[in-house]
Amino acid sequence: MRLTTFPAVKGSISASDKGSRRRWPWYFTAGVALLMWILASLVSFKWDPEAGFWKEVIERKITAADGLRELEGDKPMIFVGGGSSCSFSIHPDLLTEETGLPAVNLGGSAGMGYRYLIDLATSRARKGDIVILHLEPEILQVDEHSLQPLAVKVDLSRGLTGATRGAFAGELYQRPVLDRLAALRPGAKFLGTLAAKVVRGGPLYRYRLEDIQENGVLGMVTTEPNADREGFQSMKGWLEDEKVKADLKRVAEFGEKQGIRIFYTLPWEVFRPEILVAQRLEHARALEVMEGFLPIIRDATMGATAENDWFLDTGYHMRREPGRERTRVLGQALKRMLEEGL
Amino acid sequence: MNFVSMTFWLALVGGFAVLSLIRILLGKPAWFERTGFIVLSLFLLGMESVETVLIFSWVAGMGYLGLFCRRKMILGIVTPLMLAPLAYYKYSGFLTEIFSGERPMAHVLIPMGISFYTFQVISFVIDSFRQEESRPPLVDYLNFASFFPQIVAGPIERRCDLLPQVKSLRFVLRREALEEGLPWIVLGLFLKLVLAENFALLDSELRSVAVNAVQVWLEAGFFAFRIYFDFAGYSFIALGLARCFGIRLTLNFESPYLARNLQDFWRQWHVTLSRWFRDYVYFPLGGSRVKFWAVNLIVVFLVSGLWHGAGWNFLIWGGLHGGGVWACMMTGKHRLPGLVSWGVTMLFVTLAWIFFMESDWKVAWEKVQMLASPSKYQLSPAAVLGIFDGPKTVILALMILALTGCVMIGEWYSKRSGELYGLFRNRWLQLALIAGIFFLAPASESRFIYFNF
Repeated sequence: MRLTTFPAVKGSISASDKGSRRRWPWYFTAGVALLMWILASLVSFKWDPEAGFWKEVIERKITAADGLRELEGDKPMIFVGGGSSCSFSIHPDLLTEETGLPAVNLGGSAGMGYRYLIDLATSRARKGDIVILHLEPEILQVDEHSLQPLAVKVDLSRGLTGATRGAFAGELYQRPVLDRLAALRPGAKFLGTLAAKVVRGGPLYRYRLEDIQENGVLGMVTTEPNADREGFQSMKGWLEDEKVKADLKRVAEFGEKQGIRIFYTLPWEVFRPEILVAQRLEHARALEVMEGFLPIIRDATMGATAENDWFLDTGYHMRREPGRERTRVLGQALKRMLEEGL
Repeated sequence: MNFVSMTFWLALVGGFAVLSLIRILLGKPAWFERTGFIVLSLFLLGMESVETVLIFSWVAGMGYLGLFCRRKMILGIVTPLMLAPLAYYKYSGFLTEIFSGERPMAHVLIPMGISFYTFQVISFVIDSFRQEESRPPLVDYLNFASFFPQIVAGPIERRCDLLPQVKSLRFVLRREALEEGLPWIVLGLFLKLVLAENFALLDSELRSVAVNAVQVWLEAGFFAFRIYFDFAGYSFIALGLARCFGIRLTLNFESPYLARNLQDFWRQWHVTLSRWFRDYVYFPLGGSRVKFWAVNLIVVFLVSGLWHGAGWNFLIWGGLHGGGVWACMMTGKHRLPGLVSWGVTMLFVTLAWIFFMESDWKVAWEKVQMLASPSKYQLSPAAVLGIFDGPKTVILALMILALTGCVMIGEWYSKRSGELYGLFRNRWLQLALIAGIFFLAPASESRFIYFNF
């Protein structure tokens, strides 16, 4: 009994695999695959409301940046870049008020990946300008060398012209075209959500163009913010990835070479009161690492607050008034640093 | 050698095209037919890193050296030398943890495929010695050890199965072979990209800390399906690729989640590894013919656990399965009704996966305790929906679970028809699978779980 009951294995090639069934010619299979790829890419590219929204946001911001440059001539400018924490929370008019320098919010969405966002933030800067990277720790936690579908779609819909002639332009465009096309596949989540939204008849994306307010700052004027979020967990271990560090080194070298002063500052995020102190200590640790690459614009919050009411739908998206306060603090700190010649 | 990366397919097509051109320019010499595959395999392996090729060369070199040795030399010197890289890269961190109590933070990365090709080469040396087989030409041995579809994650082939086939390798793609291999590749890509990847996405979008026992069940269930579709997907792509070149590899999965007891499960899950442990660990220990056969059984499963990963959690996972198989053997005559038996087996396998997916056994144990605590179950619709990161994730979960149900029914139907996974190679269904790959697979880049082993 025992001998036969130990997991025994049959003959190595399964007898059930007869290989005698009728099959498509290989070129037919290949042709169908190519057709499906094209169709899927088209669906994903044309019907992604998120990509459409962010494409429009970025277009408007770049137009605004170029317009301001033309207006201000050779005066140094401030560009603030980052994920949606930047898009929602940084008010460029207040930065100008505090520092006397024209400022533009070039924030995008964290889903684009930090490389695209840094590229975007540095793309309009010239010698003498200031770039502030207002990047969420989450996206600096892992290597994001893989292509971010949202960035690919936005980029492609802009005709590959490149928001992107900044710090990573070279590498972003060296990726094989097929890799970039592969990133266009819609996926079950996208299709399922889209179908559900179409059936329900609601808005296709959480934000709308009407949410773009003065100076390109995002708000939520069209939909109710959802305060039921899970953004209170402790965030540890960011800035430990060696590839992320190598990228930051490249950014610093880019700034040095181009004569652009690039700073880093922590976005404000909400945490549970009981972990606030621990989170600030964790941020302080990571900022020490960051300081090895870029100068830091610090403030007393260390990027962590317990004020849940300051935020809209996520623990990063600030309401208008708290966002203006955050920008004021940023502007004052930057002004002090500039006055001290840093 | 990541079968789901575009880079791999471009390198494969490019490498094959260049070598084919060289073959033609050289006048199609006979020696090129098999040498070309070695070059192609090492080129594809080298794309991972030069270190990967060097370590493989060491293991393969030691294996060939072993063919010149006597039994004592093989056991005492050659086998330990073959196992040395595996021991260093995979187990040194764990051993340090055992002896010093702390795991080194910056541990070395495990070279791709090391567990698989090391076992394959060891089996080659032992089989050659045991069966007094003649030493094959170096080119055939290298093709056996390095054949690119199966070098990084199996199947772990035996000398008697693969060597005769690689001896007749031709560096050409024949239409019939290609059309025989493609359906397996399509099926493998579907399982990996559509199912395994979406389960991974689902898992990442559950609440980060489980407070409801229902979430632990979901995490374990998602992982159970994910690891199956991930590894079976890889194995089918490997099988299909090999078929494109006229090589028939072992079917490494035989619908294991339809098994009605743990013994059947292990006959159908990672078939070639089970066979390896049976022939090179269990039988040499005395198998079932000795008094302490149960100890042998547990030892085999503990070693199998350690093969999967260096950690207490893998050891516990192996031990659980060993104990489970032992219990099955002891109660062999008292079988439960089919459906109940299948349910109990799935329940056991799913629970055991908790120790596999959690690298810290204490976290795994906390989760198991949570499952055993009735007060941790919150079954109201709001509480269950609250586990997911918003309605998008719920929609995704429903879609993927429905699709998984269809696949399981398809497996059951195929098995009943006497042709494993046969339904999925039906040419009409293949078109649906292709559409699924491009429409339903997440766009993010991915790797196979078993590459970590």
